[in-house]
Amino acid sequence: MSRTIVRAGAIAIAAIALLAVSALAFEWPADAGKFRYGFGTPRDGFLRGIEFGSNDGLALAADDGEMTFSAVGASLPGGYPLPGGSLIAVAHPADMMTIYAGLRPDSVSSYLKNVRKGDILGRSSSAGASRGATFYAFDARERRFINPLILMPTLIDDKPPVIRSVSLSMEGAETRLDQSKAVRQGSYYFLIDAYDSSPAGEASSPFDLRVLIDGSERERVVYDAAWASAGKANLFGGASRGEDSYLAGDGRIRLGPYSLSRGRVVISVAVSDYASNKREQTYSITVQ
Amino acid sequence: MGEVKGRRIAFSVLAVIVVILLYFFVFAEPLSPELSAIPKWKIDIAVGPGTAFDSADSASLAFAAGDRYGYYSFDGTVAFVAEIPGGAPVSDASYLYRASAAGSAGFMLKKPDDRTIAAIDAAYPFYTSGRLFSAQNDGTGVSAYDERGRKLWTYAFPCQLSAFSAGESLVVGGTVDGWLEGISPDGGRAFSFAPGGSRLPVILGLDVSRSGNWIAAVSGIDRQRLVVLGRGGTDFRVSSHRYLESDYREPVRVIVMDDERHVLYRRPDGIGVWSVDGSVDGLLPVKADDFDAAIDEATGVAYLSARRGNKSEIVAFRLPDTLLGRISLPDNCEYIRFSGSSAFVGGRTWLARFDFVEE
Repeated sequence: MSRTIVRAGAIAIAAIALLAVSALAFEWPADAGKFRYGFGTPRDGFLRGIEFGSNDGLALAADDGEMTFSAVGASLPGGYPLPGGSLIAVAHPADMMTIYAGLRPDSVSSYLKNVRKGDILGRSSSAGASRGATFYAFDARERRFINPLILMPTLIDDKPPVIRSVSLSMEGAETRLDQSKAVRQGSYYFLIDAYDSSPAGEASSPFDLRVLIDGSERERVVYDAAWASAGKANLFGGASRGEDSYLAGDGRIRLGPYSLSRGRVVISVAVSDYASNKREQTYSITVQ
Repeated sequence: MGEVKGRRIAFSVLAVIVVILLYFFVFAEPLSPELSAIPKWKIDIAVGPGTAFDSADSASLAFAAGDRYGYYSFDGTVAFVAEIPGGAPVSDASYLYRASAAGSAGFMLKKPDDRTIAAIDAAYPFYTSGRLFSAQNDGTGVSAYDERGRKLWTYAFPCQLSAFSAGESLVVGGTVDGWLEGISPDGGRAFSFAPGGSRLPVILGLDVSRSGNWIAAVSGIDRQRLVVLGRGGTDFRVSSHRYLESDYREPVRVIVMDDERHVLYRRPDGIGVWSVDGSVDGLLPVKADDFDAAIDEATGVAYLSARRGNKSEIVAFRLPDTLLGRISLPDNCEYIRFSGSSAFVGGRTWLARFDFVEE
C-alpha cells in the first residue's frame, strides 16, 4: 500500500517537474525579497499561491501571455466579494495560467490584453492590508494550483526549516513528544508545527515533510499542488489529502492516525524546504 | 406623351397613398399608454436611529449606499441609518455588523430591528438573492448559511471565481479558467460544464433564474459567447447560444429576467435581449457598464437601472426591447431598487420614491 502511494507520489512529482520545464520557468512577479508566505502556509486555509509583502511593490507578469480577466472593486456583479479588491488572470502557453489577487485596485493595468514577461500589472496592496498581493500558478489542463516555487528561478537559501513541536493527539488529548517519554497504546494523530523562514522573515511552509516510525516511512507529503474536486479541497499531487483533515484549526499539520503498539517506538519527523535544506527531529517514546 | 406621363405620376401618388392607408389599417398597433413617473416622497437621511417600525412587517427595505446602510419602509419611514467604513452586507431580512471585540474577526447577524440572530465567523460574508453566503479569502470557495446564521455547506472551486449567482435551489460559480459549477441545496455538485467554443476560456458573467431552471453566461475570448443552459431532468443542457462581437476581459452583467424567458446581457452597443430558447435577439439602446432589472408583474413593464461611469438612469421597457421611457438620475445616486411599479433611489444623505403610472 505504502509502495503504491510512494510510486504515485513519484509520478506526480515527475509530472509537475515536466510541467515546470515545459512551462518555461516563470520570472518572479514581485521582488523575491518581499516573498512573505509560500504555498501551503496556513492563511485562514491552505495558501495556494505565494503572498508578497506590501510597501507598494510592483507586480509584474511572470511570463508572456494574454490577460483574460481583470476585475477591481469590492465584489463581482453577483455579489461575490473580491478579497483584496482586485483579481487578474493571465493565460500562458501550455495551458498555464497565472492569477494575481489583492493588487491595489487603482493600480491594475486592466487595459492590457497581450502581456509580455515583466509588464507591470499593478502594485501590491498598501501597507496595513491584512493580506498582501498573492500570486498563483494554475495548471488549467489538470485544473490544479502548482507551487510557484517549482516554476520560479531558485532562491538562494541556506536556512533549514524549523520544527517547533510534534504532538500526539488522541480524543482531544495531546502529548508533546519533547516533553513526554511515555504514552498509552492506541491510535494517534501527529500534530506537527513546522515552518520555513521566507525571504521576508515570516514563518512560511516547508516543501517536503516525512514521518518515519521505527525507521519506516509512514507518510510523505510534497507541497507541489492543490486542487478541488466535486466541491472538496484537496492537497498535494501524490499522496492527496483533504485540506480539512490536513490542517488543524490552529494551522498545525495533522497526519495519521497511526497505531502505536506497546514497546519502544522511535518517531522521526523530517522537514525540507525547496532548496533541500533539511531538519529532522527524532523522539524515542515508550508505548505502555 | 405628356398625358401618359401625367397619368403615371397620378397613379404613383395614388399607390403611395393606398400603401400608407393600408399600413395604418392592416398593421395598426394600439399606442401604448404613456408612462409617467410620479414622485411620492423624498427624505433626507442621517446616521442614527429613525422611527421604529415592526420588522416582522415585510415592508422593511434594505438600503446601502457607500459606507451607509439601514432600513426604511414603503412610506418613507426610516428605521435606522448606520455607517461603517466599507459598508455592511445587508438584505431585507437581516444585516451583518462587524464584531468589534478584540481578537474577533467575525460578524453579528442582526435583524432590521437590531436584534442579534447569531455570530458569523467569516471574513467575507455577502448576500445574493437575499441568501447569506461567505467567500473564502482567496476567492476559490463559498459557504452558505441559513436565515438563522447556521453554516449549511462549504464548496471549494478548483480556482478563483470570476462570476457568481444564486437562485432559490441552485448556486452557480463561474471560474477564471472557464468552467461553470452548480451547487445543489445540500452543497453537493449539481453539474460542471465548460462552455468552450472560444480560443481562451473564461467565465465573464452569469446569472441563475429565480427558479434555478435557467443559467445564462457570457464566456470566452475570441470569440465571446452567450450560452443559456436549461434544466433537463437532473442535468443542465445548452438551450441556446450565440457568438458575440464583444471582447470583454472584465466582469459582464448577465440577468435572467423573472419571466424565466428573457436574458439581458451587456454589449458594447447597448444591452442585449435574448430569449432562453434563442428565438429573440434584440437590443436595448442603453449603454451601461453595469445594470440591474426587474419586471412589474402586474403591468408587464420592465425596469432597468443602468450605470455608466458616475451617471445612472432608469429605463422602462416592455420585453423584449420596446423602450417606453428613461429618467436620468442625479450623479450622487448610489442606490436603486424596484418593487412592482415603484422605484426607490437614494444616495448617502437622501432617499426618494417614485411610482410609474400608465396614463
